Amino acid sequence: MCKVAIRPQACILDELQQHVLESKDIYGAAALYPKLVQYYGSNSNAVLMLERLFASRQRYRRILAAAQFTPLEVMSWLVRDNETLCLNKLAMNLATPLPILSKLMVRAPIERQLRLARHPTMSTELLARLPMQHPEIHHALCRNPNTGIAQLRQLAQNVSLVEAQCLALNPHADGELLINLWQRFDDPFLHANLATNGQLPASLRGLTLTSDSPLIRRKTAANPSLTKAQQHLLLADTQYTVRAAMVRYASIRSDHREVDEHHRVRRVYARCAGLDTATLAHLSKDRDAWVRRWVARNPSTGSVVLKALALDSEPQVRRGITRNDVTSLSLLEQLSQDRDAWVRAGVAYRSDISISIIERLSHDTSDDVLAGLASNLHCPQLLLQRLSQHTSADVRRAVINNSVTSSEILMNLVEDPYGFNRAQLCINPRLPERALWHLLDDPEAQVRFNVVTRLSGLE
Amino acid sequence: MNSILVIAEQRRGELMPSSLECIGAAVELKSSNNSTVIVAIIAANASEFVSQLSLEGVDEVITIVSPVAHFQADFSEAAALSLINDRQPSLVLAPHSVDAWGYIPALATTGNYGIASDVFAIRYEDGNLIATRAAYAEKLHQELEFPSYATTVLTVRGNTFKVIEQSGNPVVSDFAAPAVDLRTKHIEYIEPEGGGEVDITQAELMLSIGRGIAEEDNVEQFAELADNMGFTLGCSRPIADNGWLPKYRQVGQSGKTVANCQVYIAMGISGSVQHMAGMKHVANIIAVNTDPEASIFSIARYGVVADIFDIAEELETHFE
Repeated sequence: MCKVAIRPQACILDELQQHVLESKDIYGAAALYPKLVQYYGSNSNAVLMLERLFASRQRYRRILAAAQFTPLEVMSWLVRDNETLCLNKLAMNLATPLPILSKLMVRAPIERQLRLARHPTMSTELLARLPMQHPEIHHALCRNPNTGIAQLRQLAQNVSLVEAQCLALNPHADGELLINLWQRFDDPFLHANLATNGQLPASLRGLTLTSDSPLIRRKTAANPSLTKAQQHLLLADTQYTVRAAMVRYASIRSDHREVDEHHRVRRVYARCAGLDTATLAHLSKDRDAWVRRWVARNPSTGSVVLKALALDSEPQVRRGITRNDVTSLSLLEQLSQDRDAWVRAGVAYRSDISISIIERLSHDTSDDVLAGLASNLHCPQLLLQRLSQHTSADVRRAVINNSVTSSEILMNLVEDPYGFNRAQLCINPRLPERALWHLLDDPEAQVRFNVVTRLSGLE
Repeated sequence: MNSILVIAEQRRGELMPSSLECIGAAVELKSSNNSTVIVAIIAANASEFVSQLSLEGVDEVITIVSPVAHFQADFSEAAALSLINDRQPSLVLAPHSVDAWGYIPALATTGNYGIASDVFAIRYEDGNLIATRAAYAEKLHQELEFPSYATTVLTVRGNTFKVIEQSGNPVVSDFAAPAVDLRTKHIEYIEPEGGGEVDITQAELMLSIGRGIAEEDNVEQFAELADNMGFTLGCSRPIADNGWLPKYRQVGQSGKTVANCQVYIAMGISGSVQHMAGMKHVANIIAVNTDPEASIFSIARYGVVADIFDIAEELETHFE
């Protein structure tokens, strides 16, 4: 180890490189690789030595190809691999970026092309180059939201009912294509999918609005192109499922649903933004507890109604108040003394509570309450110190993840018995460098990866 | 003749269901080892449990009268030790419970017996006992042998062995336990705070939510859905860490194992190793995720590659 107090980055990188090579730690090596490329260049000996480690075992390359944390630079190296399984894993990895996907297209066998056809990051241009005649790729292209309209039209010429249902939901499908699907398939589920598509021509939307099928009318409620008159029509539907869906998606004010005969409609209505005080007051007295729960969380609910709801017999209603941004400090003070721990926990997680509330809650025995305090940005260091020694790994993790926790407290957590806690500890920027070196040999791969990522970024 | 001894448990006058599962395990084993099955119950009112313990395949029920109404570790240890010395069973089974862990380790040490905890599979191979338990946070299963012990004590994981439904006609006898200095006394039962209302380890139908729900208000939507469906709501670690659901609803390595679950719907859960440790044993896992490569699909019986909110909306309309 270098003996200087402030070491240059080269010294740190060299030491890290030596360590990951000696310990054959591919996770650490993956974290270090981009820094070495950046610092020494891609053809440097330092970089080549890490590549030799990656290349030494197929298993290493497969692990890295499948991992979502693998850096772009490592993926760029992996894509040169000749092994099919490794390349397939890269093609399946959701974190694989478009430039790598583009390279994976080169001389890709059908198996890999299928994975690429499913990948949500594939561009319209790349997808257009895949062989549509292969049945599974055909199906995957129908599902992929990035498939372009020109390709969708080609796909539509020969689609199964299930594929047609996928095409009906594709955001790139245009009116002409949707009409074509409507006419070719007399299937209620396909028509229901078509009903939701904003590109559905007005003539067909008229049919879905007046369909005998409640399913199709309900799906029509989700169509973003509905006119106000059409929304009013569905708000007055005889089926509660249709009315509830329309209340959920309506761009207009769906007045007077507080008196809807069905509780499911009132529940959705109680969530709506911008309801007036009288309506919310009416809903706050609803016999259905779920309606009252939604009113308690609604930011339009006034202080008088919230105060009344704070006495509700249903704990989840009182909990809802604690999670409402507009709830006053005095009401939070009151709820911090609630008999139900989950209500008190709701207060503990609030970043706007006073130190007196924190002090009161610090004597609580509930792990939920204590975890809330431990994650609170206003939690005093003395309390964080105490909570860092709690028997619950969840409470200790909340201390670890709190951005105000002091370096001294974090240092005491480097031996935390729960591996995930140590992995989280490494990404807290307040953890001192000496603690990171201590964790370099941690048995958990995620910890080592995070440690090397942090250390290799030190200046 | 070999014998298998089951030490049954009661609490507050109720026979613990895990005791019946231990009897099921013993009866399952008796034919493969040509053993008799003896069931002992330690309680102040021990004779009241005889009829419940008289199940098909049980050869003898032994009542041991306790001087105290509630579990007492010193007495249980002394009574069990004395009974084992008297009957010389090759295998002793007890529920993997807080009571058993109050005396079983001491019993095994004092008697020089083999011991394994939280066992979920037991078999004999060529006359040798093999017990299976999990290790490294359920990441692997280990098989243990006890070649040098005349008697082995196993604590048995709940919900892993079938309960015998049919009644039997065993011999019933009393056993006088030696007098012992009781170093502790029961004061009171304190119900766990908060978690008292829902015990997800006992839930048969679970709907669990993960990071895919994105916002706290959406938790309410899925809580409402679970309520409508008659399912118990669970969650993965990020949801509990955010304070969006109580810790007692968390499934997984740092949460709970849904031991009794028959149907598990995982919505927006990618399937970390830690989460799957708590639910991968469930026979009917239904996973809903937009990522077709999500790990959860590798253990799911049914997989739905779809938006969880679309699926939730459809489910809502099907449950009144």
